[in-house]
Amino acid sequence: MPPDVDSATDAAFAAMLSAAAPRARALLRRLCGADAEDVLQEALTKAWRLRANWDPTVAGDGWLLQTAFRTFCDFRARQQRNRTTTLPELVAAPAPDRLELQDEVARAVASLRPIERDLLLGFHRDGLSIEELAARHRLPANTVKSHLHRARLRLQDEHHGR
Amino acid sequence: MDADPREQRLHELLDQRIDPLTDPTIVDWFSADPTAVERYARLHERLPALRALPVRRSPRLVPRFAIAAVLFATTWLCWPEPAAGARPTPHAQGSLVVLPPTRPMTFRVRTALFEHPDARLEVFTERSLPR
Repeated sequence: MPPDVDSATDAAFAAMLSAAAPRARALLRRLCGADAEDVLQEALTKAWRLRANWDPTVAGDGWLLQTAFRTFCDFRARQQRNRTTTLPELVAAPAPDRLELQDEVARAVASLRPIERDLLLGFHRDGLSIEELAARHRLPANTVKSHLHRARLRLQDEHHGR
Repeated sequence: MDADPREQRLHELLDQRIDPLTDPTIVDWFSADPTAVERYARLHERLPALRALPVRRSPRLVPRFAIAAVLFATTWLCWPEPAAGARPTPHAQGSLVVLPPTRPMTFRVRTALFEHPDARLEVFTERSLPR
């Protein structure tokens, strides 16, 4: 135990970790699916080792999320070194198996403008290129990209599941 | 509103179908900004879910017409031959109807093109007598 950490601080830190863990778990589930729990445990262990660096005046959630994300990046790097499969398989998110996720996505897509919806689905579902979408919709490629970016921003909004 | 250049970079990578987490700029950004990484994580989870959305095919008339044409041709080809003696007669039946004199004289001729115990095909033509 680091000499400058006392038991009261430890207790406060442990309480902070417990409160922040669900948000970190949700983040890791989105990033690495079935491996989320393993990565979270690794992140909590790392956070505990680094608790001397914790500033109690700063919100603990953000601190743990940063730690969780860095742990996830290390985890990915280890996987890439150890696996022989191709990179696209490694970086693809696991197939969604939650009905509520499908509902969230369907609601988000339904809220898009028609052109944004067509381009988003054309690119990410149907595998069409920017150039193919531009030709199909008779739009400049930069306009297609703008619509696509806006559609992605809407897709990642938090409240579609509420 | 000026777009965040890091957000712009993220979308450029997605446009090129490159994993954004392979880019050091993006990783540094996410390492420093928990809100940004949470937003990206939602996108990372939701983009593959688009593949499960049904493809809504727009109604296409050409294939439907093609199907109708095939059905018509098949029916026409499979139509039974008339029995011996029941040969189609061009003018098996006709009628003369005098119409109001909008023209010198106009009448309609009904012509049976095909007659069969089970079917009959008629056409109507209007003819006018010249002045």
